[in-house]
Amino acid sequence: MTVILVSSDNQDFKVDKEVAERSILIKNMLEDVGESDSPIPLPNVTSAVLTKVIEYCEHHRNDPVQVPEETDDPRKRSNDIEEWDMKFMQVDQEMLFEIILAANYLDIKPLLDVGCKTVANIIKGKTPEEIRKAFNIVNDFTPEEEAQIKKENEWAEDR
Amino acid sequence: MAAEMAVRLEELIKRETRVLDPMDRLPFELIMAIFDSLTFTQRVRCLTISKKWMTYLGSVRHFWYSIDLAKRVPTAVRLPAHAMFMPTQLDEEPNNKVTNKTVLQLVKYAPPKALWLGCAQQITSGLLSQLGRAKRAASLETLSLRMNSRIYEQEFSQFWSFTPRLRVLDLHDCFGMMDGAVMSVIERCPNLEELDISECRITEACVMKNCNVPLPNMKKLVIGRWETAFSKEGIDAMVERFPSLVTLDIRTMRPKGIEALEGLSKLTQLKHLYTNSIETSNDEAVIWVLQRWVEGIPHLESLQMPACKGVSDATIQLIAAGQGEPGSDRRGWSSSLRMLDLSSSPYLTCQSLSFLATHPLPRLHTLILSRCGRVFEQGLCQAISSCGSELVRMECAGYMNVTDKVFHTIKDHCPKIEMVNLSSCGKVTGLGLKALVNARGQGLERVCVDNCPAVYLDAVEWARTVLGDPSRVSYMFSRNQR
Repeated sequence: MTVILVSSDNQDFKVDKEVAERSILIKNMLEDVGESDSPIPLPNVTSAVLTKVIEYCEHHRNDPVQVPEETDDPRKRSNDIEEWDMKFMQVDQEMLFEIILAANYLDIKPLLDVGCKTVANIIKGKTPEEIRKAFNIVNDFTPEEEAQIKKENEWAEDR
Repeated sequence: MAAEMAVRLEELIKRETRVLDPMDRLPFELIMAIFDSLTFTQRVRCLTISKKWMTYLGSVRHFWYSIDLAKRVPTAVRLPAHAMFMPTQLDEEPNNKVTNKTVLQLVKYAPPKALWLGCAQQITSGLLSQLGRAKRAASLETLSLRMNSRIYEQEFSQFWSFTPRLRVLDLHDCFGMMDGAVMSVIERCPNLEELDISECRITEACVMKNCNVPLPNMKKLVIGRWETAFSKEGIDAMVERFPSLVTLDIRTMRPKGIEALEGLSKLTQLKHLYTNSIETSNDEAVIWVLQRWVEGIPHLESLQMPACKGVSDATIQLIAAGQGEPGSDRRGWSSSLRMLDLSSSPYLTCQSLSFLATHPLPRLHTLILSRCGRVFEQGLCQAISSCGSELVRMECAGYMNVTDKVFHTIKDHCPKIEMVNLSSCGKVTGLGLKALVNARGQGLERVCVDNCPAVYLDAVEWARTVLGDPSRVSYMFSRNQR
């Protein structure tokens, strides 16, 4: 069985129901509506982003439904992104944010996690200057403020 | 054509000025999720990105509950979860950049619940008064000031009245700490569960005041110092004061006469015991003390007595069989003991290790018998084969005459083995290593064959490939050992 998803720029995407139901939002919608083949409009997702999201859901269509696990082990919390997901997330920053927002809107928890981890990994191990460059951020501290901040946080630099 | 150019140009401009700042692009809860997975230091670094980042991150209070300024040395070995009790190791590097001001800057976002300031040599006692006065100490549950030489007692005695919630306090090697400070922290912080006052300038007097008032919250105590000996009264007072201890580490506590340690047998809830100061050669007294311990402490799970001259064959017999207590079928600690470390015991011999064949310790997950001068391969193999069924970690380093037989015994008798340390074993070869790796495969977490002259690089390389991670096989030679 297939469903039709409509992106914000009015493109139709024909997807297996099983794939579309990776999104809890769509799953709930389908359950509410019952048997129906009317297209589902997704006004917050552009076709470019929807293509990526569907690619992800296709690849993970057979994954077991994730049980929310509370892990206190900080080692486990980040870094460990599956190889396929890592490759999948090799997109420009713009697309990365779009994917995260779409995953948040469509309620696809595993995709959201991978997205957040990817952003965290961009921040990790970078100097403040490199982080600014990566995210196109303007340093709005005055030189005096910056010198002060730099002095205060010197301890955090070499680790 | 021109129109197309204009569109292209517009696109380019849009690209140049597009907003990629996560703080602008993502909703707050997603930003929290992202920064949750960063370490404290990384978050501090992010404070300096821009004013917006500073305000945003500063406003998330739970990011600042735990202030960790200790510079930890990354440990190469991942300790398995079952290594429940390990003595605290010197895992922190001195750092001179963290000052009182650093801490005061960081506590302004939220009153911290945990402060790790280990080895921060520039931190002085003044910080504590300032924290107290600024009302930034009331939520404090964990405080670590390991190896700080510039904190003195006077300020401290005041400070404790500001920290009613304190549960964990680590003052290891704080040279300015004396009895008075310890006494006042015990008096004023009734919720204290863990206390490390090893290598402070303390004497037994610090636990003797008001010792008739028991403090049952205290679960873990690390205490001891070579320079002063503890009398029987002092040790009994400690036991009376902290009757519910689960973990006791008296590493370098020297008793005035070994008999003084007898009192520990009243700690009925004790599970982990560590000491390396049983130095006497008075065999009978040591045996008597140990006998009392075995009788009094029913469920000891880990016993670590490395480098103790007092450890002998009788020690193992008591641990594994007890004295045949009347009216009880308990045999020593054989039904509870999970970790046994008797490394560097000069008087231990093979005789006691073969005793284990008839009186095994079936629940052991860790057995450390490195560098016992009078132990040979045969004894080690006996111990491994009789206690191997649950063994996860086996260490017997430093035996010049140990051969591959040990590897084979581990392979045959320890189906759950994860960590093996055979460093400095002279006759161990690559064949033994290969046999173990073949048998255990990826289940083998780490093998150490440092300073093993008969193990060649090709076997090590092969093992690393099979195990899938080069760091799982340690193979280094130190010059002074060769």
